[in-house]
Amino acid sequence: MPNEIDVLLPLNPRTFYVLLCLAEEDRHGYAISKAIEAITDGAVRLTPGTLYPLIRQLLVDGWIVELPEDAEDPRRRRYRLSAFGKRIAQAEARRLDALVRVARSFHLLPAGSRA
Amino acid sequence: MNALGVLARAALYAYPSDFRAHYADQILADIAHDGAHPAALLFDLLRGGIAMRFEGFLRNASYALRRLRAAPLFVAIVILTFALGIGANVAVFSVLNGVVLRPLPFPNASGLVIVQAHDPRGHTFPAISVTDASDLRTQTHTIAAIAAVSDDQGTLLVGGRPVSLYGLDVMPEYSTILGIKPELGRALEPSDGRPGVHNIVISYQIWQKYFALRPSTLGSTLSLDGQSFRIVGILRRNQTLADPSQGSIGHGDFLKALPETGTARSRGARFLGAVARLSPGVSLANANAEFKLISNRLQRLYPDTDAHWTFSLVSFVGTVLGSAASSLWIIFAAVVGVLLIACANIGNMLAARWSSRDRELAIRRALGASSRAIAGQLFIETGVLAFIGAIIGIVLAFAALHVLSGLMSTALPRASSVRIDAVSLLYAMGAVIIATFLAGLSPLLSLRANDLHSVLKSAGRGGDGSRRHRMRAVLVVLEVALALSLVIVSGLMLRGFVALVHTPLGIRPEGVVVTESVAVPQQYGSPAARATMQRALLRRLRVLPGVEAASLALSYPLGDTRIGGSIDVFGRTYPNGGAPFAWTNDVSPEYFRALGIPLVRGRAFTASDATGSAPVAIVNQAFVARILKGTDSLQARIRLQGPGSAGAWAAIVGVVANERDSLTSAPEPEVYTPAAQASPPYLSSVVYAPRVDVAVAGREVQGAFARTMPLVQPPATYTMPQLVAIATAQARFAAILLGLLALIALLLALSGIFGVVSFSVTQRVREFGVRTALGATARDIVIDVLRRAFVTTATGVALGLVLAAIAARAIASQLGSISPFDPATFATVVVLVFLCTALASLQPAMRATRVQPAEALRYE
Repeated sequence: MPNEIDVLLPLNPRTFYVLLCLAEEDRHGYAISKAIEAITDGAVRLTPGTLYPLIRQLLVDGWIVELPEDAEDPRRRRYRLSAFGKRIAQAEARRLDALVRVARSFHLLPAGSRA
Repeated sequence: MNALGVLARAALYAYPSDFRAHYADQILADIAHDGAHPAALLFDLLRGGIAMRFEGFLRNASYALRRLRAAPLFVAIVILTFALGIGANVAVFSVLNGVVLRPLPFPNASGLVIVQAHDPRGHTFPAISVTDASDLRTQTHTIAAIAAVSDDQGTLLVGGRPVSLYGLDVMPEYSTILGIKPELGRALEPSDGRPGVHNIVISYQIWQKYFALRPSTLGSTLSLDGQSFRIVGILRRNQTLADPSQGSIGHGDFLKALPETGTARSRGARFLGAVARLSPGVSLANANAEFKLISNRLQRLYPDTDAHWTFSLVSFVGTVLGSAASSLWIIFAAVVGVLLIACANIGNMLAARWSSRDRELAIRRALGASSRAIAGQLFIETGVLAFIGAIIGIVLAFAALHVLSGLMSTALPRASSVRIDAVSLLYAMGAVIIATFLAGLSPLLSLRANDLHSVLKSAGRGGDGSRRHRMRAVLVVLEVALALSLVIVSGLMLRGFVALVHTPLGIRPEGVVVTESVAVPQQYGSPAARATMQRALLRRLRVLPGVEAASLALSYPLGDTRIGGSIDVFGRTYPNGGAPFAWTNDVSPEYFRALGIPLVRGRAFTASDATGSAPVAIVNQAFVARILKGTDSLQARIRLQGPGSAGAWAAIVGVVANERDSLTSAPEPEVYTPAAQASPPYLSSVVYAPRVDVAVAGREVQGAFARTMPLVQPPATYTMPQLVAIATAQARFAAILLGLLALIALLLALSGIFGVVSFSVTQRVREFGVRTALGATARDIVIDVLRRAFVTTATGVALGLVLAAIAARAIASQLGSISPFDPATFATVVVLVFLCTALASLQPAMRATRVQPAEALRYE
């Protein structure tokens, strides 16, 4: 029987990237989009028109939380992964890891390689 | 702020306002940091905003559907009300659109006009002469082209069997004016009218029916009435022709050139219809101003024929539609009224339902849901209901148009172009949006009337009702007002229709069978041949089983052939073309007996009033009163002024009572001459067969025609009630539709009153309990409830009477002999509305009497 987290998977890749970036450290929106660009070598870019609606949805669902005002830039808000969000990100990572292991065992990927 | 910032700020309006408030700064900061291509930025922000709104809408809509499933009866009633309101609107709009709004099927149809001639006595004819057409053509600058047109009928022999074809003889400009582009071959040209040239253009339908669409048809010959015509063109399948003399459009069978010779050339021979096209950029008013000047010039140039005659132009589409346009606009106004009433009703139902959710909503608001979000939820819920209602309504509209199609085809011009098309669906969509807004307005206002504080304060009693109740009462007042005026208008139209149907025709309609007129073929061209044929036909009709009287006639009551002219009375002179006008009819001796028209003085015609005997005439009482004025009728002699020379003087031998030729005009002077002396170019017949089935009699009459004129297709037959039904079809259509709409409006108002009275009784349960405890009787309570309901209704009635008076004035021209302020109708409807109020209040009033004091106080 699937638990409450498994029914939320698989995640939309963009959602997963946002959760990943926030797992590393608290970031504001702009920093999130820059970090995603960095870890995907520029393959995934979140424009403001996509990013902020996504952030709002994650806030409403309680996967991330908004931190109090930032002293250095009062216009920006920083976000932190919630405990619930962290469990979801972990579950998604485990799901992907299991998939990759299957792919290796079927020789779609050499063992220990990067895709 | 730079340009990019301004652009971004504008684009952010695509997002819901709460999102914008929270994230605009961050997004603007990001953009300021990063920069972006303006187009890409605009696209990104708009897409994101629309996606977010759409998701929100879907979430709300699915929430609405889930909530609505919980109250199936309420939902069913609301949807049904929407379905009736929107469905009736779609049906009526589709008729209005097909008949009135859609342009006629000609290129630039708005520039088409009909030429009318006005005689010195002020009669108007849609008719001119060939010479008038060329006079006008050479003088005008406002008309691009003008074509005289004559109806034509010809007999085609198909395998020895005669088939009547109906077409038009036209001047060659006709094709240019209407923008006719043939399917094959060519349109008519000026050379087609030359003597000895016999060319014809046939319709696609004739090509299909009698020539099997063979390409070799072009250039082959077609024999009409024994004369060969060369087929030079074939019209397109959907080609519509305009007949200016009938003011109608339709599918003619053929077009021939109006012969240059053989048609009366005299200026005064005004019997041709004329269609014309305004020059580009010229208005009808300007063209008419010019025609007035031209008329004056022609009066001076040709005083013999044109003295005191004037010409004018009327729009072709206006003539085609006639009174159908205003009739349909009235029905449309009524159906919009029904939708308004439906919306008011639904608004009240929704308000009652949402008020039971006061606490849920107040708490949601306290938890941060904005008023706007709650209003959005309300409108989405209403919109979902309206949308489902509209879909059912459109299905109902299809069914209604199907049921009405038979009646519409006789009642309305262009009925065949009525259909539910994309424009109708667009209208339905607009109706859904407006209905959603109107129906949602009342619950929305009542939501604003409450806040968390007042809701929680009144926790035990289901909300503070007084302000809300006032608003619901206002809506019911408006409902009653609209319904009352609608019922009055439809009552007036119904009375007008009944009066029209019962217009005394001056004849005995029972047992009468008439035949449509047929053109007498050229083989009977000589007076002797014609007289022989007429005698043979009359003899055959007279001996048919059950026929007690039979007559040939040029025209018959409510028929569409009517010929009239100027009359000279012996011994009188009429200067300046002022000779009186009278309708003329050529009839056999038994005409008056067949139609039951009483002979007032003198004698009827006899068999001896024939060619060779002294010319005689019979006139009606209107003729005696208006034209003979004081002269002893039976001493008078009259003659008909011909186009060129006048006929012989005829002695008046009898006076008959007035018969009416149309339901809408009063009897006019009429002269009857013996058919045997006149040899009319068209023949119809009137037989009186009171003890025979009319269908059988009709077939027998057709048989008599077929045996007498084997080369003519036997004419259609009608009974007088059928002719009355055809003549009153438009009024019947309007009366039926308005009657249905009035019924719906009344039912809606009834349920609206029930709703508001019932709600108010619920609100006042405690009060009734207390009063019962203090000794009030059931009678006191019922009277109190009824009194309040009657006050509401009376306010609505007062407002409705004003509305009805305005509406009645606007439709006065449609009512015939009925006064627009007919007191009987007004009074009946007011009483009806109060009866409905009593009916609707009865159940809530009884409920109020059953309130137990103990139960009422439990709420405290």
